[in-house]
Amino acid sequence: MNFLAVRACSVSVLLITASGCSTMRDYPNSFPSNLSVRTTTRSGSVFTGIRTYLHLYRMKDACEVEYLGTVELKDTATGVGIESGQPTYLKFVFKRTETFGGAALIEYTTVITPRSGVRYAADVSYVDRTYDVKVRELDRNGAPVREFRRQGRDCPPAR
Amino acid sequence: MLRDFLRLLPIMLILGGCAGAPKNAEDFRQAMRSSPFTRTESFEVARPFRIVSETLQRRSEECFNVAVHSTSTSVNIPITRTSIRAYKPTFVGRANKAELHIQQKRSGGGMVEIGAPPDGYYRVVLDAVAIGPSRSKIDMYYMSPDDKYIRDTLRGWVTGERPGCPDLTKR
Repeated sequence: MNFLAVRACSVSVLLITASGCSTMRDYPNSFPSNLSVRTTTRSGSVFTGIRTYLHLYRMKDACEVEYLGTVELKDTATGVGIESGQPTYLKFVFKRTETFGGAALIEYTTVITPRSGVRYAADVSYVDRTYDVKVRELDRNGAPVREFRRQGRDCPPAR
Repeated sequence: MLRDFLRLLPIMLILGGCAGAPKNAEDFRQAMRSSPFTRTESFEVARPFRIVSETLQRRSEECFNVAVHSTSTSVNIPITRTSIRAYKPTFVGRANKAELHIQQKRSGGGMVEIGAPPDGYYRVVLDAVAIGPSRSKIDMYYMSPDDKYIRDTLRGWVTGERPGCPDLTKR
């Protein structure tokens, strides 16, 4: 992983006040479903809530992206259709809210270029202060054959 | 004169303590071993060293190459402060021993770290050694009880019970 990629990863966890999602729009999901997302959330406290989102971006180059939309992930399987052959930046976001104030966003990003006729699966979880995202390519029998690693955008450092 | 000295005493104590902060992993181990509080833990896991080592390397790169940006606003004074906690994992792998060092560097929000290594204070150091074909011994050294969430994560990795990343936004 080069320095720029490390920098991109280094901003992947943000703690902010709740306001950052106002520009979200639904992902059109107009392509045939080729990514199945299974989501599990358990905050571990009655005073903490967890919501999970998948933001999708079309990659213009290694750094520039175009926002395509957002899918809210429920604790069930969610089907998402991503254009084949198009490098797509996936940003999984856990939004943690506390009953007595405070919110945090935890981001996990990766890049996937779906191949035609191939299926993909993502296991997304936040359980008791531990989160995990695994995005895998599946073979015809549904067995994982490749895992996509956490990856940020390769942008020049901000001046 | 005495009044000036007493005013400066807390600052001198803080600076003195920080200036003595461990500058490398071995210094950190020594400091935690000699701490009057319990700052070490050791246990064995029924997993081959190679798998333990690979897991530590792969997961630490994914989970600890992060920076937590936090913003807080004072209730009484309309000032918003932004601070950053940047984590840095360092993995050192050898034939029969692996080390993982977790450092944390704080900046912004009026915080100044004095005497810290360039990548921040050492928070946790973990050593894994092979003690048989399918067993490994783990020694962990940690700065503070607040680092429990890091220790729990590393324990989950070496035992294979919890592969996920810690929510570092929560203290």
